[in-house]
Amino acid sequence: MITIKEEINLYMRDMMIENTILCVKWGDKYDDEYVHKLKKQCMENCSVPFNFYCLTDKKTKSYDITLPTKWDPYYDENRGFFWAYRKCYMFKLNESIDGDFIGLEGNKFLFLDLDVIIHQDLKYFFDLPMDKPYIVRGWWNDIGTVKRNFSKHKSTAVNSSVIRWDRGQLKKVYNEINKNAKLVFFTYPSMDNYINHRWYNIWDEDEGFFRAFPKDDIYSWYKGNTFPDDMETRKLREDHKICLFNNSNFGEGINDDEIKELW
Amino acid sequence: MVDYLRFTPELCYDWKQAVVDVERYYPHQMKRTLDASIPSQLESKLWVVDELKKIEDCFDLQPNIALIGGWFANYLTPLLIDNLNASKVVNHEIDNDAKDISYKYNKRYKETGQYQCLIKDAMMKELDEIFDIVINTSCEHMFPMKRFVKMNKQTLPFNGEQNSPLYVLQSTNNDQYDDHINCVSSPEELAEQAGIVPEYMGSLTLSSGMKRFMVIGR
Repeated sequence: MITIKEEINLYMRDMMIENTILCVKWGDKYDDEYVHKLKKQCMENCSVPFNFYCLTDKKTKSYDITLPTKWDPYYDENRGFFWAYRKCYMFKLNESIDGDFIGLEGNKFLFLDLDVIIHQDLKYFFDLPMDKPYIVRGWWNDIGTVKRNFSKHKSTAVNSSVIRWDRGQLKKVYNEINKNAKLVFFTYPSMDNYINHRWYNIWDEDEGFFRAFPKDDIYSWYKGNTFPDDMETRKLREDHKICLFNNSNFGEGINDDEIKELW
Repeated sequence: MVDYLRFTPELCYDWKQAVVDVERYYPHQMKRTLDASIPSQLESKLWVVDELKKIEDCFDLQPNIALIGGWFANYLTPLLIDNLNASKVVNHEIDNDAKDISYKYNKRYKETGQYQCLIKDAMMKELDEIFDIVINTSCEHMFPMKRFVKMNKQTLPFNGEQNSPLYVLQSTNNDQYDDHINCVSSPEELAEQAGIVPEYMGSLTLSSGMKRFMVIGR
């Protein structure tokens, strides 16, 4: 039997805006301008109502929500330079309103990295069939290289710059990291590599926990679009949905000017 | 002393076919199969079997052996079956291509049930069965083995005692590769990392120039 409190919760949930766009910002790599520009792009490119939140270590704006810090002791910056583990806190968003993210509303989540260019209506992402969560499959990767380097933890097929999930859908991922944080941060050089190993199946891409966004949805400014036929870099493809600025070959902050010119 | 691999016609056939199939169906893995076939790979596996054979009393029972991250298991499987009379070798891998290719190198043993390869991250979940011997010759690629050892401690059903398989662990101090995420400076450190009491500890410089450490213990 449903309690009055549960009934109120369900009513409140029905009244909420379902679609929620999240970004994560910590440290000094990206300044507030990135969050502002991302929000502006979302407003210009999303034809359905949405909530917007930035999960951050420095809360200054009304849309900011404080990131937890519980995994900090397990993270060794010297060995896990690219381990964006703070992003993984958002996977905790589950069926009930979460103690770590009080005030964060919505049921349909779209995470976007701060350094993206949005070309097309984000409604597309909220309308996807959600039997599985979605993540970027870097179609610009040569799958032979990905497989060859799989056990070396290199040439990762998956990219976490855009993730789409429904509330509760990534709880298993959060729980595994939470239970095994020391092992996970020690073993995998990056969050993308961890997901590639544990939650994606490069040998049978329909069988993984995550589904890949289809080809020609999301491409990379620095790496291209689809291997081997459409690999031109530094090319805008406005018929695609989102352009990423991922490039593990560059150090922190380098080449940021290129996205600023394109904003 | 175990200082050679029995190159039988059956082995010859499987290996030839493995090369043909890798070239045809797994061309992206060609270089890795060559990497797995170099002399130093054989040297380090001969060392495993040679030292295990000296611990004679383990092997009266045709040991059931687990490999952790055994890759193509091209050298170790025949060495263990030929020299230690292993009843079964079960390789635990995370790489599907490695699994498929290992079955090609060891087709004759796959067919008799003496070789099996499972896709399993052995650091995340305990093994599915009880093994007499657990061999990990690539500890430098993994989290310290103490976690695995603790996770796979078995309680004997009759007297409630804790039972542990015999562990054979190899690692190196060579940290020039990105995927060598857990190098050690000595066999003592390797034993300490695994939390096992060593019955054997040693070092060996391979023909490739890489220094390897090995501990055997429970």
